[in-house]
Parts: sequence; C-alpha cells; structure tokens
Amino acid sequence: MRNRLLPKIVVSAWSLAMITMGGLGQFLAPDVTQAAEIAADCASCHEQSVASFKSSYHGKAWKGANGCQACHGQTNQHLDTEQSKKTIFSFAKDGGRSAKERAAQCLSCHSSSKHVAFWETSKHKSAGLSCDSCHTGHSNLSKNLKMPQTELCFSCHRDIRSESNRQSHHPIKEGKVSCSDCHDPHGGFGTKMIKADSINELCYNCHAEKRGPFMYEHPPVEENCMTCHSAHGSNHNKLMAQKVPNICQSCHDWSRHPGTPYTQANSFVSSAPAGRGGVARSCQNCHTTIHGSNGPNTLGLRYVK
Amino acid sequence: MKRKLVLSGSALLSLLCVAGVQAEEGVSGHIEATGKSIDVSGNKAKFSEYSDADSGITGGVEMKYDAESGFLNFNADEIARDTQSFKVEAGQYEKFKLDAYYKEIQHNFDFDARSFYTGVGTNNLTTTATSASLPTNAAAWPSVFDYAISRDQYGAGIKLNMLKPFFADFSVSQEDRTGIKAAGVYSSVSIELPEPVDYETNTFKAEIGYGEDPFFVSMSYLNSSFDNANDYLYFQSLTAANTSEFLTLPPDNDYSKLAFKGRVKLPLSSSLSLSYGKSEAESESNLATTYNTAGNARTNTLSDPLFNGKVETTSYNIVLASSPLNFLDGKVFYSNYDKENKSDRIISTVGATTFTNHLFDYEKTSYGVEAGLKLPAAIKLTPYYKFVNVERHRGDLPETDDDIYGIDAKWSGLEWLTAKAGYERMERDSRWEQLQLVTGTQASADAIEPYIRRFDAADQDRDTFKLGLDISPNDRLNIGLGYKHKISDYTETVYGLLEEKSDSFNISADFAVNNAIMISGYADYEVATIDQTERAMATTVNTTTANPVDTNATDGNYTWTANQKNKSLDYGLAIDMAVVPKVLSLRAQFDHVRSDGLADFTYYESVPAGYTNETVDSQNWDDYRKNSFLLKATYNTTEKITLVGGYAYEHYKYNDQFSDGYSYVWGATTKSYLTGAGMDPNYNANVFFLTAKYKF
Repeated sequence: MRNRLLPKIVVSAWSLAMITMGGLGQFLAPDVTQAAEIAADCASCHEQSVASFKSSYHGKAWKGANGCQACHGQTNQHLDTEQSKKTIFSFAKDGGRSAKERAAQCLSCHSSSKHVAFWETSKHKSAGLSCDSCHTGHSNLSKNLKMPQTELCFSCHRDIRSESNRQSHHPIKEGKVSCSDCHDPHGGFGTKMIKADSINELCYNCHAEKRGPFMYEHPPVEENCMTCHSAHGSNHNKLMAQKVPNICQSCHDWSRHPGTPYTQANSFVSSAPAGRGGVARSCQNCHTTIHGSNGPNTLGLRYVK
Repeated sequence: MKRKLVLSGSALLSLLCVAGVQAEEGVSGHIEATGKSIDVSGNKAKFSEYSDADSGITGGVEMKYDAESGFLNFNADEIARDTQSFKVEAGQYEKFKLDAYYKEIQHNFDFDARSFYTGVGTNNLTTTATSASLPTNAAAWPSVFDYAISRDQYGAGIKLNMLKPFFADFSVSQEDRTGIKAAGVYSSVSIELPEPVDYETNTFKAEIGYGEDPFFVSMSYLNSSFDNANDYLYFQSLTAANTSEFLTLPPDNDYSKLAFKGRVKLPLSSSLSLSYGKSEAESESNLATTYNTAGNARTNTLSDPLFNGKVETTSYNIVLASSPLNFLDGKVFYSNYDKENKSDRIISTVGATTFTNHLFDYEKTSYGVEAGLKLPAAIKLTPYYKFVNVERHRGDLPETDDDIYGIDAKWSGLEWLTAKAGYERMERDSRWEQLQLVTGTQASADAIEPYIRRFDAADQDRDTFKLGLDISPNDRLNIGLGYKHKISDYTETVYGLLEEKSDSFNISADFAVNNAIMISGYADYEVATIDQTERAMATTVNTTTANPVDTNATDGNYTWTANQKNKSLDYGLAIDMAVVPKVLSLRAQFDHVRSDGLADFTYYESVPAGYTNETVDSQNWDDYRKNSFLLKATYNTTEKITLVGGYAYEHYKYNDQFSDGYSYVWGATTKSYLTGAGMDPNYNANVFFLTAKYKF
C-alpha cells in the first residue's frame, strides 16, 4: 500500500509551519538598528563593490549591522595613508594574503556551520584553495558562488567537464543534477569527497531499486557501482566505463557465448551473423537482472530472470 | 496537476504569511514566458534525452521578497513542460528556513518502439503468436510505445538555527518514477521486453547538532522506503503452448541509517574529526516455487519460499589534521567500512540442480598520511601515502592490499601563473583462490580460473601523472591547461584485462577583447586504450581447451584479443557581444563532441568464414558526432522588459557495430526479437525560441 497521503501531509505541515514561523518571526526579528550603514568612504572608490554587497546574501542577512570592515578589517590606514590592498584584508590575488589566511577570515564566522565543520579534512584545502576560490561575499547567487555551480566546478575539473559532455551522461549540463548533489566540496569522510560512506550508498539515493538486497547478488556490483559505470559520462551507453560485451567478458570467460568474440562478423550487417551477444544490448539481450535477482534457481543465479 | 496546484497554493499561502510581517524593501524578481518551436527529424528521444521535445509555451517566475524580519523566495521554471520545477523558500537569515519543492526530471530513451505483445506498460504482456507465426515485419506488431521514464520529485524541509549553537534540520521527500524501460529475457529465444517502471521512494531525513568552536557534533537519521508496484513482469513465451513466464523486478526495500559526526579543534592549529554510521537495508520477496521456462514447467523446491534480504553496514572514520607550523600542514586518517550480509541462505532445487545462494559482503579498511610542505619560492609539495585493504566474501579474489603513494606540487610564484604537477602510483596485491562454484562443473572452473583475474580486484600497477597550468596575464585573459596520463597494468592476468591507458588534454580560455566583446572556448581530447585477452572454448571447459598454450589449431578452442581504442574530442567557442551596451547583446555559440572508437580483434585461430583478422575488426565502436549551434539576442526594451530570441541547431550522428543495420527480428536460425531500444539515435533538430521577461 503506497503512502499517497504523504504529499498532502507534507504540504499541509509545511504551510502550517509557515504560518507558525511567520508569526514567530515577528518575535525573532533581529535587533538591529541599521546602525552600521555601509561606509560611504568605501563607496566613494568602490561603488560597484558596495552596491553588490548590499544586494548580496551577506548584506541582506546582516541588514547593515556589519559593514566592509567585517571582512576587510580596519580601513583607517587604507583610507588615511596608502591605498594599497595590503593595508586592509583583501581577498584579491595581489592582496598579499595566503589561502589559509583568507579561509580563516571566513571561518572566523562560519567554522561552526555544519557545512564547513570538516573543512580541515577537505582535499580542496590540501590543494591550497580557500573559500574565496569559489565564493564571494558580494554574490547574490545561490550559496554566494562566484558563478553557477557546474560552470564553477568545471573551471578546474576540466576532465570531468569533458566526461559530462559525452553521449551518455548524468543530466549535469542539463541542470537536473548538480555536482553538490553527490560531492561535498567542503570536506567530509567519503572518498572523492562524496556525500556518503561508500559509492553504492551514494548511488542508491537516486537508484533505490538497485539496493536489493537480492537473493542472487553480482559481487562487483555490490562492492562498487564504479567498477562498471563512469559516473559523470561515457562514450558508451548506460554510463558504462567500458563497452558491453567486452567488459562482461573480461570477468566471465567460459565456453560458448561468454568466451566468444563478438566482432563485425556477429553484427546485424554481417552476411552470416551468429550470436545474440553481437547485436543491440548484447549480453543484456538475455541477462537483464545483472544488478541482482530473485529469479528461480539458475535463471536467477545467472541474472536471466 | 492537482499536486502542482496544491504546491502553488502553498506557495501563495507562504507569501501571505510573510507579507503579514511588515515589508520595508519589497518584492523583486521577474516573470517570463517562452515560446519554443522545435522541429526534429530523426530520433526525437535522443535529442530530448533529458528535456521536453515538443513545441509549446512555457513560463518562469523568480520572486524574492525581503523584509526586516524575513525573506521569501519563489522560483518556477519550465512551467507546464516535462521538466517543470517549483521551489519556495522562506525564513529569516541565520534563524530558520523552510522550503518546499516540486521537480520533474524526464529521461527519454526511444520513442515509437514496437512490440508484438499487448499490455505494454503493464506487468502482463500477452500474445497468441509463436516463433513460427510471429510476423517478421515489426510494422505489423500491435504495440507502439515510448521508452521513457519520468521522475516526479517533491518534498519539504525546515532548517532551524535560532537556538545557536544548536541546529536542527528535517526534510521529507517523495519520488514517483513511472515509465517503460527495456529488458531482455531468454525463453528458448531471446526476447526484448518493455518493462514497466512504477516506483515510489519516500525519504525522511533529520539532523540535530551543536556547533560552537572548538566543538561540532551532529546526529543524523535517514529513512528511505522504496516501493515497486510490480513484483514480476509476466509475459507469454513464443512456444506453441504460449505458457506464461516471468521476469523478477526489483523488490521493495527499506533503508535506514543513523550517523554521528564530530570535530574538536585542538592546540597547534589542529583538529580531530570523527564519524560513525550504521545502516540497514531490508527486503522481502516471495520466491516462485513453480515457473515456466522456454515453454516447460519447472518445480523449484526451496528450503524457504520467503527470502528476507538484510544488509547492514558500519563505518567509522578518524581524521587528525594539523598545521603546527606555518610551512607545514598534515593529515592522518583511518577509516573502516564493513558491509555485512545477513540475508537468508536458501537452498533451491530444480531437477538435479541444487545449490544455495552465495551472500556477498566485504570490509574495507584504509589509513594514510598526507603532509603539505610550503617551500621557498612559492612552492608547495604534498606527498601522501594511503593503504587500503579489502576483504571480500568472494571466491576468486578474497583480499586485496593497495599501496598508494604520490606527490602533488604547486608553484604560484607569479601572480598571473599557477603551475601544478602530480604523480601517483598504486600497487595492488591480490590474494587469489580457486573459485568454488555453487553449481556447475567444478573441474571446468579448476581449468580456466587460474588464468582469469577479474579487473576490479586483480593485481595491478597503476601510474598517474598530471600537469596543470592556470594563466591570467591580465584581467582580460584567463587560460587553463591540463594533461593527464594514466596507465594500469594488470600484472597477473592471462585472460581478462591486461592494460588500460589514457592520455587526456584539456584547455579552456576566456578573453575580453574589450568592454563589449567576450570570447570563451574550451577543448578536450582523450585517447583511451584497453587491451584484453580471452579464451573461446567450443563446448567443454577443461585443462586442454582452457590452456593458452594451444596445441590443436583446429578444434575451435582458441585465444583471442581485443584492443579497444577510443578517441574523444569536444570543443566549443562562444562570443558574447554587447552591440548596444545594456540594451542589445548577442551570443553565438558552437559546440562539438565526438568519439571515434575501434576494437581491433585478433583470432589466434578460427577466424569467421569470410573474414580475416584485418576485416573482422569493429570500426564503429560507439562512434558519434554532435554539432550544436546557438544564436541568441537579448534586447532590453525598457528597464523592466527584456526580449530574448534565438535559434539553435543540433545534429547528432551515431554508428556502432551493435546497432548499425538494426533489425527487430534477427538471427539466421534461432531468431531474436527486439523492440527498437537503442535503434538509430541520429537526428537533426531546429529550435526557435522567444522569451519575454518582465522584471519587478
């Protein structure tokens, strides 16, 4: 029996919560008196930056309580004597601050956030990146990103961009799947910064039908989806890391069809074709339950039914 | 539709709620309408693999409302299309956030597929035809249908931060997945079947935690329930009796996970991070005690007709990260992941064949160290070492040890140039054991298995080299270059994969010619090769037929090799031009993707009649080429109204040994029956679009 009531319950609960929280919000409104208007002194030289800050998430969240100094430090020397970037805390390339210092500036507020609590474990941190490599405090894009997420990630991970362009791919460039659906760029405990303790656990989040547990399991499938699949994209159908039937045959060498080479001689266009493994979906013309089966006896064992 | 209305109503209700709180800054956003004219010749499904291929009108809304005590955002995209999405968020910065969404993801595989079965889309496929009477002309088959799957996702969540340093997040979601995908079965003949997809997955997540330096701790719980409306796909065989057979479909399952994460900051710029997680996945299936196959009735005697599947995982991780000195930061870690299979072991007997299902599980342990060293002249070196041990309940390769070591180097001595290089080596040592079959002729396994090393766990030496350059000589020009070489050598394999190698080059660049013209482009090229050797054995597998040292050149037992080569290339160029600044802009974009594959086969004997080792090669090995062109003009008629119009063209051509010359009914003597899955994905598409956007 399916839980068709769930969507209604969810929407109703959400609406109720909105009403409650909307009212509660009146009491929880920040006690800010707009005292700290963004320094006019900064705007006189950095008009565009100050304007973008005002419309940014930081600007909206702080509601004037914090100005430029919150991130850029004391401006007295910068204003009074020399206008070098090194007299304030600058995030610019030529600002003279190391990645560690720049990250520390952001983490002075954000280190207790669950999103960056494990930054110290991050591969990005090891690679010498800092928060401002991807974010800017002046952004009004989602997550304060410098540019849309996929574009941002691909600007460094060019090999992944190439894979996601291939004919079989997850809908990354179509905007239906984002990098952060699977990866946590701020660090964690999973390999390749994935948001799970294992590859399969991650994949099953969207492909729950592959979870089983099945009576007849295919061991490499159960250990790692990436044994056969390439997550970002592939030249081969179904995101296969190698082409079927050869990838299957590299493990299953036996008499008759498992050990038979499926070449041009076995194709549709051959004058004397033979073997079902040589056309269409190849091995899967018969072995369809390769992710696991509860089929009867050897038909289940061999993933035929 | 009803659900969409409910969501929209909910969004409006939210708007009213927050509107009750005094607004000081008001509402901003935009509303837009788009008309699309799409003309596709060829495979419309491939063109619109993740989109809606039909011409029509759609709309979008973005609304942001900011007030002194709250915000509300509403987004709607591709309204009334197969890919529409709605999202509403509301709350107070740093206090709480509520969100709700509805999203559709379409995945089209093939349109206008054909089947001789009726009942397509259900789990009962019927026919009165037999192999002898079935029309070989698929146009005469009664069912025409689309291979496509729709995911309708909706959910809601709440994030609470008002009691800092405590926080809590809760969310629920549901996904309904419906459609048809291709399946294949063997029932004296091979038959491709339209498999119904009618899945529902419900997920609940909760996380509560505490975060204030130096501590961070959180507990999370996840429950995911998967429900498949169909346990079996029934179909009638093509034998004279037309007996009903079945294909088992994925069983319902329930999954839950409880996890803990924690971090404490220590002296000397150090931190200790820990995690622990425990999960459980369960399924329950009624097993068939009788069944038909190839027209014959079988009795399946089972020690228990009810299969209870249960898999538990336990994982824990410890990471100590430290930067005790300005020039040094390091990391030491240890992790363990244990997957334990507690499913039922059931004895199944059909005729003389009796065996018990094998349960697979494994345990993976890894530990390692990484040290980042800042050296003079803006050089940073990061050497690392990692050891991975996997013990798996598997007959052939029950244990592997990986030694992985490498070094990354980065030089950032110039403000406009960063250079990176890296090298990594993995040495995998595998313990091999003779595979014991659960059923079948053990002597055959004893003969062939000593030569086989399955690549996922085989002994392997792997070397990876990487180079990268990021160049920004001025504010107008950015260039990124990358090169990667990877080679895996399977050192103990006789039959199976022997070597995999790839070389890839990447470049991307953008150049602002002046304030009005921006040019950007990219190119990627990769050559990947895979070498494998296999043994063909005519009938019996024994020590003679399996032996790579072949003494009989005419018995139909022979060694063959396949050297696959795939060359992939993609590149693109885009020009953005502000014809009239802030009023009229143009964008022209061209993208090209292609792959050229080859499988070079060598038979050491028994080359098929009519072929030689030169002509038997597969020249079309997932070869494809896609050209995409876009021309777009954006005209801001007023400060509030923008018109966007354009034209896009896309051409896709695909050739592959396995689909070229596709035929629904195929085979010289024993025929196979296909439905058109993967047939001829070529297309040409022309798209005109016009969008009117009103900002408020």
